[in-house]
Amino acid sequence: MRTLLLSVFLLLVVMGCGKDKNDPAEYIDQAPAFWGEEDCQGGLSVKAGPITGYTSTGGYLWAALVRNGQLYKAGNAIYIDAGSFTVGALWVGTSHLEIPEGLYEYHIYLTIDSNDVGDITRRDLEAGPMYYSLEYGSAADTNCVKIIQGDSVYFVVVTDGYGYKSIEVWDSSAGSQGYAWSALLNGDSLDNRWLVQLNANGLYFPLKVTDNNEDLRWIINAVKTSSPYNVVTAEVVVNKPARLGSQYNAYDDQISYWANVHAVPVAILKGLVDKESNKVGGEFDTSSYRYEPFTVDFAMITYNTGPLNPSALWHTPYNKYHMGIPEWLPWGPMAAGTLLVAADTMPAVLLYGAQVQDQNGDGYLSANEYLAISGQGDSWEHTIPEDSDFVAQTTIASSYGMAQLLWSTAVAPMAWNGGNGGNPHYLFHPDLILNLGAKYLRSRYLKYRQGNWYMDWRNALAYYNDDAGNYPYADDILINLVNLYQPQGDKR
Amino acid sequence: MKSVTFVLLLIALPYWAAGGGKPSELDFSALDIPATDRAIVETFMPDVIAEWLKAREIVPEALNQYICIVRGDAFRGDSAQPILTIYYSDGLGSGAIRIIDRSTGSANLVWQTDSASGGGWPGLRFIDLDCDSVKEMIAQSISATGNWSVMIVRRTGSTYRIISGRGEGYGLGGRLIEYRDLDGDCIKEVVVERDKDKKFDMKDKKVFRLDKGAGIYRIDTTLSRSIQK
Repeated sequence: MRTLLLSVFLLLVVMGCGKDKNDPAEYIDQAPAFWGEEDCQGGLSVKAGPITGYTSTGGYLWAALVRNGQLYKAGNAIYIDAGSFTVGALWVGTSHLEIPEGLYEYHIYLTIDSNDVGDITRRDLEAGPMYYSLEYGSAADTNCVKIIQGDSVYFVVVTDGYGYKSIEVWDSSAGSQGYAWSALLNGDSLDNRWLVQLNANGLYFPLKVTDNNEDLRWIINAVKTSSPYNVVTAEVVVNKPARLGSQYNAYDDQISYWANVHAVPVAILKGLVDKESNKVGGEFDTSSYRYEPFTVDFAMITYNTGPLNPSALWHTPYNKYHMGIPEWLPWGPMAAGTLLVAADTMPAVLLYGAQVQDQNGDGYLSANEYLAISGQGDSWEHTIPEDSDFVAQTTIASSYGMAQLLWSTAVAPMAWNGGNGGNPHYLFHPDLILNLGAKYLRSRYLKYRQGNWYMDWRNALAYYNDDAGNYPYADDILINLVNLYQPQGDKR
Repeated sequence: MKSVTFVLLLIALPYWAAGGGKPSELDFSALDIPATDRAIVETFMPDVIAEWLKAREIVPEALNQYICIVRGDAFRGDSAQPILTIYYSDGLGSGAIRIIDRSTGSANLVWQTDSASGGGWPGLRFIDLDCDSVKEMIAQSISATGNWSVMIVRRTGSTYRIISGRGEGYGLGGRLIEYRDLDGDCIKEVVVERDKDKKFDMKDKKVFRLDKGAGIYRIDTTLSRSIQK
């Protein structure tokens, strides 16, 4: 964890400064108290005050950090009337993200014309410079704990004989209402901000990434059991990881982002992607693709036993993206879906790693041509009547991309585009498929959780793969893959 | 026209009287069934599904992806019977199967599953698995990644019973599920194949036997080898 070590020193400038060129009686106190304050999110305020002085005109009092003669950062302006004035404090707000280590000048300016506020060359009165030295150090701040997404942080509360009744975790963005321990036990009701529930001891806090834009901050309070009911407070800052494990790192940012959005443990999501994706060139293959000839196409698309009887090919939105059918195959002749584009049709359709050939050269890949592939370990040929043949609807009966979601899953339960879906090849886009996949995994977690973190995510993964619960699938991810993709490094 | 209105009232009034009728903001016009059946589908729709559909602002054309309807007595293969079997699912695990009998002139709910019985994309098949001339209902769903799972329901007289549920203990989920009489006793076995390891790997095959009394159980997998081509 990196923290700031601030050292502030004051240099008084005695010659000429603080005097208006036309009225020597006008001045700004040259030696106000001067200090820097940091918060847990890396925010930094350089403050001075109280500030006294006199102005015959009134104007705007403001402070600025200056470096190498250039304005670096201006603070807010405070209007003062003509006459003697005392201002409690002026400050310049910035953050670790925008201010590097170094020596800064801190000036206080009085500007009469409001249009000149922020322009250090057009000030009317000035105090300073005071010198502000900023450096990053290693001093630990026990009240400000910084972790990375997916990390765990443990708190040990040392009692003083009166004990503590609970540790509370508050989301400060909820204002004074906040949420306490009891709410945490049902943490998923809190707008999915919790990644997991607390464990039995209440010491386990994997939390979503701190987001200053959403004012998402995590405050840990330990509350005493008896009077005085004072509180020990710490804040947890959760930063984005630089990488997830040491392999297949090209899409770590997207995986981290969507894991965080949908409150999925980030290593679990990457483990799922590993499980579902082919690998190409040392990275996940974003164009992983699998046509499902029997379970989806035969049973639910072309010859439908589901809601879209007798064939999904006539139903919206399937009718917009299906393959064309010649007149000699079932349901033909049928033109290709009106919204289908060339990128949706795979140039070389693969079935379990083998390329399917258009053997009769009629321009259509049919069921029989899939059956011609041998040794694939798939016995769908047992079930489909031998004399049946139909156009393989590779566009709408396939699973896609890094999360291997079916196009039909994206359309229906995930309500992609209001249930209208989109061009199948869009699902190769990492952001879209990771968004849908993480969202679907989260829905499995919410559906099957029972209060035990590990088992709840085991259930989520098992039911992600199939609705009967594929636990070998889940265990492979949790036991063998998650450890490979632990978050590393701090990407602030 | 009056008679049509009267029939509709006959169908609808019992549900309203029972508190089951509820106004809907959903447009059911896209369901490819007669208007009277659409009214029943709407009336017996589980609240959880209706609320989910409304929250998602599902377009009418997409509504039929969540509601699988079989008209007639599919257990007997008699399409003329005034029975509707409806499988509602939000595709996320919530939903229900409901069987509605209209033979008395009003619509009566004769059997239903609980609201957690939904799966992925819903489907209904009727196959006589146990060779007693009454078909079993196979409620199947497709998961997000293309795996199937099934729940099998047997009807005996007017009694319905789930003889295989979903979940780890049943194992009836996988890349392929087929129903074949492997040993010649007229009772069809259930053959389930899963991805063996990763999604693009070869398959792992398991065989389950239907038992008229106890339900369904897994049998020695050596039998599965006999059905390999």
